[in-house]
Amino acid sequence: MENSKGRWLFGCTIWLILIALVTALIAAQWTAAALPLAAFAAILVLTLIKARIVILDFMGLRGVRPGLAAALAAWPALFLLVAAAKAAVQTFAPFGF
Amino acid sequence: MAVIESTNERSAAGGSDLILWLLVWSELAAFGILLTGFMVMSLMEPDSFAAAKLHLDVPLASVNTVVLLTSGWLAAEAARAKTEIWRRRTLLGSAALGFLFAAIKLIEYRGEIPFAGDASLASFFELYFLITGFHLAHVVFLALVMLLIARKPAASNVAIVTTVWHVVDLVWLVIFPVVYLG
Repeated sequence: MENSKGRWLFGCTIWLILIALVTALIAAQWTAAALPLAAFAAILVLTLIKARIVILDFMGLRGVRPGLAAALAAWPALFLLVAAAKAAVQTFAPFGF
Repeated sequence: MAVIESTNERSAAGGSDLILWLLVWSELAAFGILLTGFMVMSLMEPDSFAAAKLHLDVPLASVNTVVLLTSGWLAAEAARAKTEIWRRRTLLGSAALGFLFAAIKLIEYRGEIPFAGDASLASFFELYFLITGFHLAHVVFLALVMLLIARKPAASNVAIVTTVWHVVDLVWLVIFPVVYLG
């Protein structure tokens, strides 16, 4: 049981690192200019997935205290949603939307 | 299914975990205020913020994300470790990666400080150094606490410090897209 927990945690970490690398690769495509909205949205979704893994698996809240886990997940979700809205406003505002 | 023993169960051995969660939420509130201020200012000065972000080192920040996530994994291992030796080793590893994060961040700062003197970019860099500096101070402080706890790693103490470490990890995950890329 101890080993299976350890393997699960290691697997979560591998996923986290892979997601972080994909995020870095997307960001690296636009080093001299602002990210397009679609790329930024993809990065925000990946960030949300990373945050969920940290809360549920690293903090050990998977299946335990679902209210607390949801409240913790709401914190990054709120800021990422605002960041997405801000990026959308800045993208579409010059066109009169 | 609870695959990993909950933080609550771990810290329950040492008494109520109310203080732990108060600490967690006060940290999230403090960083939340700073990030809100950053986003409001970026709406007020979009051109200045967009220009300033081009001077940030996104590749180094990406490396730091991987370093902090790996450190978070070792912290999670420390919190669920059954033996004192494994708990100590994982805590030391986590703290070492925390110091590596700080070293990389200082290298990053060295390349960014010359641009902070530019008056047109001042608002961005004031908030940037405030947010990332406050986060860096948390990383260094908690890494030092982990080193201290590693000498005699009681399960309740390990549960507290690793939970706060994960919060610092979570905050960085949000800082990266909002401050560097947004």
